[in-house]
Amino acid sequence: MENSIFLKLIKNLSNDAKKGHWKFFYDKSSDCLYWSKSAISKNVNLKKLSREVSIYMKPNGSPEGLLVQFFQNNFLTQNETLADTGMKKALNKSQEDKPISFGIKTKELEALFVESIKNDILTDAFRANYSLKDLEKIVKV
Amino acid sequence: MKETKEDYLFNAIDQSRMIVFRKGNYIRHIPKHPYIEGTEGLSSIEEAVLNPSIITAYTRVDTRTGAQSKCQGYYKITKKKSLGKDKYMIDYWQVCVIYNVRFRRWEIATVLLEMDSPEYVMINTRIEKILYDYR
Repeated sequence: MENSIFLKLIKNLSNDAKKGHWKFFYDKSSDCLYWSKSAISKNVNLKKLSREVSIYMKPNGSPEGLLVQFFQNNFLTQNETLADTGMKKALNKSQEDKPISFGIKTKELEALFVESIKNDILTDAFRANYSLKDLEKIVKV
Repeated sequence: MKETKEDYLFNAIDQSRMIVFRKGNYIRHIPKHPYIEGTEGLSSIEEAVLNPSIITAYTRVDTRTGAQSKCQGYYKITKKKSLGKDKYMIDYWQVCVIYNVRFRRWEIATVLLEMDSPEYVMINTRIEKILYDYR
């Protein structure tokens, strides 16, 4: 389990985000939260891994960002710890196409966000009878 | 598809009026969704709303004001690959539209092209209800 490609991918998200200078963006009309660069590379594929979470994957298998759909209407209602960080307030204040600032809470929020993403993907996969190995096959493609 | 100065207009299978993608919104989406750019991207959007595999309905609540909006999701599966044991990976387009009460028209909020994704993730059954299944 420790060597799972999928778990490694999730574990390294914070580092990838730091290296890639990812920022949080919120699109109010579609209720989508992005954690990515402001512009995604053209050769990157969007791969959905749970009912809300998609990952932008480069051809070499490394991530270039995340997209969470139905973010306030569904994802946050299921991840109360994340909602309690004051994220909602920051999202509602945010402007289209401008990165969201979470101030001193950014590190804490990123860690909680990654944990919530992992739980969301694994919960949906196991409910659908997909194993960690199945997820690996999907991530590898 | 039709084009006006302000909008792109698409025929949809279940609507008498054309669905609108405001050009400003379309251009704003390109950096995060480069596959919608150009004639090919616009044709794929029309194909998804005119010949979808599934149409869903859901409600979006503005958490700040409490205002509710009617939304629909058009899903067009373009590729299906077996993973064995009745498990599949799919490529699909998802077009999310919101009803604009003021203009009495459906407007595109976002368009996603999801690649090599497990089949079970396509519809968010937690909030979406299937209206039509054409598969």
